[in-house]
Amino acid sequence: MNRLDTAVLDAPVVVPRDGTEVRSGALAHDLPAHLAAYGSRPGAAEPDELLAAVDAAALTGRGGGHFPTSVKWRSVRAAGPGGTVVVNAAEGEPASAKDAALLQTRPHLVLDGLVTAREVVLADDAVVWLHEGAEATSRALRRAMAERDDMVGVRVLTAPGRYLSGEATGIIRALEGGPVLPRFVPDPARPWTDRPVLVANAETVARVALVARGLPGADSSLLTVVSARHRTVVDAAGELTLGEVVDRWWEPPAPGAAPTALLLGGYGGSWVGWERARGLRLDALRPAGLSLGAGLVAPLPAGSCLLEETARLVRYFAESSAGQCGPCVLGLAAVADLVDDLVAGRLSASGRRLLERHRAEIAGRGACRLPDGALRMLASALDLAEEQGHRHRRGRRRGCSPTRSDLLPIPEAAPR
Amino acid sequence: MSTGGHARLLVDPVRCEGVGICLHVAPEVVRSDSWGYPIVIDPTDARADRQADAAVRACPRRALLRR
Repeated sequence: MNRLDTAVLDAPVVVPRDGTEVRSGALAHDLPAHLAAYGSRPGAAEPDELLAAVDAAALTGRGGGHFPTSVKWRSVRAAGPGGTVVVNAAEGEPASAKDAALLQTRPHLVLDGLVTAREVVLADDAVVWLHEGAEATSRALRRAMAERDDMVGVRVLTAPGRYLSGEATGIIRALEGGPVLPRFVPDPARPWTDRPVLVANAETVARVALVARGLPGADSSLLTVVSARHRTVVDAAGELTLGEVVDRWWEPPAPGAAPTALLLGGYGGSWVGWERARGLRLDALRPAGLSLGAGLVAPLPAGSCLLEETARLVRYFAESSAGQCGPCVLGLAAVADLVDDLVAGRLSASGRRLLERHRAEIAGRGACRLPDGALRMLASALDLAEEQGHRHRRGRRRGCSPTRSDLLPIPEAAPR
Repeated sequence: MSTGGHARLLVDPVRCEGVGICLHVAPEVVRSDSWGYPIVIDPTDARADRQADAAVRACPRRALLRR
């Protein structure tokens, strides 16, 4: 076959619902397979040319923030040489499996991206950042690193397997000798206090590796589609609609069953009603006020309760707080209690007002975005429940008859 | 974000422990949330500037800054 691959993944990758070892799908590339598929990494080209190509591709950070990649890389480059590049593959987003899929099947694309990032930002130190417990991913990464001659000095570091271990300011704080916990950054363009640090998501650097080869790079997105028994990671083209994504890669609990809604982006993303979601193109989410975030697509099957799933996620966020910022620690716990009351159909009128008040006063007041994500997800659920005529009042439910309440996997909270 | 020439008042929420002195020395630019932690308003006049500076100086956790 002479044609070179242009996508990150050429086939879906299946990962168990609980676990991180790729079960089937796209064949894993060792170095010869990687070179046959993509060709070799273009040597130290002019960084300005590469950054212009990244600009032209409109590549944004695939960890979830979707900040323009070229802007971030330029600001680290401008801070001067001698810094660190961190490729973040910690899979901080709980139900996502794209870091696992990427590192287990396309490790060399990620490592090409790491080497390119190191050149562009003039770093003399490079780190791959993983969650503890991601054994298959760690093995695949180390096997791939051993095949290459440009990995001297690249460190593989593991952080406790909790939500915030992949948060960029916490990674930088840890590299500077502190705990792996977010910190307050007055100037987001300079999140470091010592030497410059670029924290780049694994998918983002893999896409830079494509752009460096003159390939499109940013025209598709890695999605994790969550089914009841497994998760499917796909490289989905931007012109696909969410309806097509669900039709192709979601396994419904009963054949042919359609979801009632889907959670889009991540646990801190947005619930979108199915009728609205199905016609939305992946590359047109922003004008619709939505984001692909970290690429999570979690359909809610009929028989699952939107409000129950939301309550579980809010509680998970409250328990995942780093415990540092008062409005997050106290606020999210209070909000989670009120949402539990709402699900139980015993939230009073004053309880509703208190929930409104807490939502308004917590937003934007953490050092990191964990509370904001929790509140955004909650707000989207409350809006959608209203729109769908779904109510839990005075102990009775309208518009919902749940048969199960464990759609979304909730990791056990690691001690902080 | 422009504040018309007045430096902003920022809270480092990691340092802040909700001691609450800022609420007393700078009532025009700091108010309390439900748990006693400060919600700050960016100063827009000289009087608010003075209160913000006083709050920065008074914080025992050094959790407030002008920027």
